[in-house]
Amino acid sequence: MKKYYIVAKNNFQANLVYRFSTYVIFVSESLVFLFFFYLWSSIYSSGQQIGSYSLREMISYYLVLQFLFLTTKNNGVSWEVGEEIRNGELNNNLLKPYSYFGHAVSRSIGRLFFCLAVYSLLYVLLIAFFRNYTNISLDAFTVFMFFLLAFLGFFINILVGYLVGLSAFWLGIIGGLSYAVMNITTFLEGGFVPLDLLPRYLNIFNNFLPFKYVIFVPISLLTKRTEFSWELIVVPACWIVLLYFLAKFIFNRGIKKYEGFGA
Amino acid sequence: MRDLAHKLKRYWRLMWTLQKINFMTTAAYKQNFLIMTISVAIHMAMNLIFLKVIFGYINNIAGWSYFEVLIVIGSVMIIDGVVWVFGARISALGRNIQRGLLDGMMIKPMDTQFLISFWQCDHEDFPRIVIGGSLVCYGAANLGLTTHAILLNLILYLILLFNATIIVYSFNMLIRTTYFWTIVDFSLHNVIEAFTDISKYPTDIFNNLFIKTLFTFLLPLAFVATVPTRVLAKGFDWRLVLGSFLMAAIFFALARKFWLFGLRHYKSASS
Repeated sequence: MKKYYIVAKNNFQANLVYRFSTYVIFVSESLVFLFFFYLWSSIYSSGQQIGSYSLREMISYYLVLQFLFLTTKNNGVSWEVGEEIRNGELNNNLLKPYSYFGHAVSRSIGRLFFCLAVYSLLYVLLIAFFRNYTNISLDAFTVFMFFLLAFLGFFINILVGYLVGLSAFWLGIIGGLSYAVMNITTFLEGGFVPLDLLPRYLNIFNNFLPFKYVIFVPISLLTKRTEFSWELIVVPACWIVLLYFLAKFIFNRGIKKYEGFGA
Repeated sequence: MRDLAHKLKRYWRLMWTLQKINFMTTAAYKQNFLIMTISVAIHMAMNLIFLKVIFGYINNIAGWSYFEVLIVIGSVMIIDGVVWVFGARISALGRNIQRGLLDGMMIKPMDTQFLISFWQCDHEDFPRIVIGGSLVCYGAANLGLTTHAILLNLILYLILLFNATIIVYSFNMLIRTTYFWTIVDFSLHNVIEAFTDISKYPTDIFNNLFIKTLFTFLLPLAFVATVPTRVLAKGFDWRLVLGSFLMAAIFFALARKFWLFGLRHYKSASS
């Protein structure tokens, strides 16, 4: 376990080198939030309402959504895995005494903790500044459960990205597939619009998939639109186990086809 | 004058040669091209569903109808597509500086900014232009204008869209030139993405004067898609047309000056 901890720590430290990036993202994300704030304020200003969402709820949704985009959704695992397979760098990883999957996850965890450490500060500031326009729960239990659910969502996201990356065994370049999957999953996660605004049949279909646990469910909990229940933890945890075994199976199939050229 | 014409011809020919070479690379990965085309269509569908959901509850966004917003989104897709198809290498500028790969371009007997701008072309993004164009045509056909008015406005729209592409390209260059000092390759990409995302909506949503000025002149969002769409929907407005030309010229000149300034500070990281 220690070797994975070191991989995660190294990734965390590597991110620390680029401090300037953090300042830039602080500015760009504040601008994006400002944009959402004005977009929704403009829509609601003429007395119009979107579904059951009040202006406060809508602003809160997009504020937390952005936070998740920067933290639990912010990983390039599909791209990293795909590139390592395509250019043969995977060879180096196969020779080392660790599991390739564990290595890929550890890198992402290192990055996640860096992002959490940095962007939490930005979002605490934004929540404090826009406190009159949001309804984010500050109750300790809810905040703790939100992070727990977000962490489970992070693993679902990592596993899906890893599976997409593994498709490089067959496809070579996976840019197109990665982009398609990213768009579809982001949509089904609630990354474009809150899922309860979508047609009923889409939500029924989505209930058979793990994606809503990545964004929609954690946000709904933090913005007090849903009550906590153990089901919110058990279902994504089962999905993680299922996706893990699927990833293992696909990796074993892919490695038989792998030619290791380009290294 | 003859020298200038000869130079322009040389650059034009080089640009198309680079396009051809890049197309051959794209053709080597046919599956990826096909998947990318589907991906772009999916991305467009997601944007449309978002709009449909919003417009299922409301009639307009800051006075902009569904079809007008559709044109704004289509316009951003076209510009985004053009920038990627012709100048995908710009996005790799940070990596080139970090690894000293810029040296190879600097010693070539051509303008380095030109090479950085056209060296790599992502033809996978071509469907973005086609799909964006289809959205614009569909939106324009539903604006309730006469065929004559649409055609006339469309010519103006295309000119302003060209200006908008120059603005987006220049903004890209302005931001990415800072890599000469920061040597990083990911955070500035967020700024460009944020810029593209925000320009997908009419800038009339900003009712605060300070914010509106910020998003019009400092970050010239208004001239990216809002102004061309307004001209397409409402017809010629000399202030908007003049503003579009001015902003394109100013941002291009700024980007060029800043690029040359940055290039003088390039330290090269290669062996």
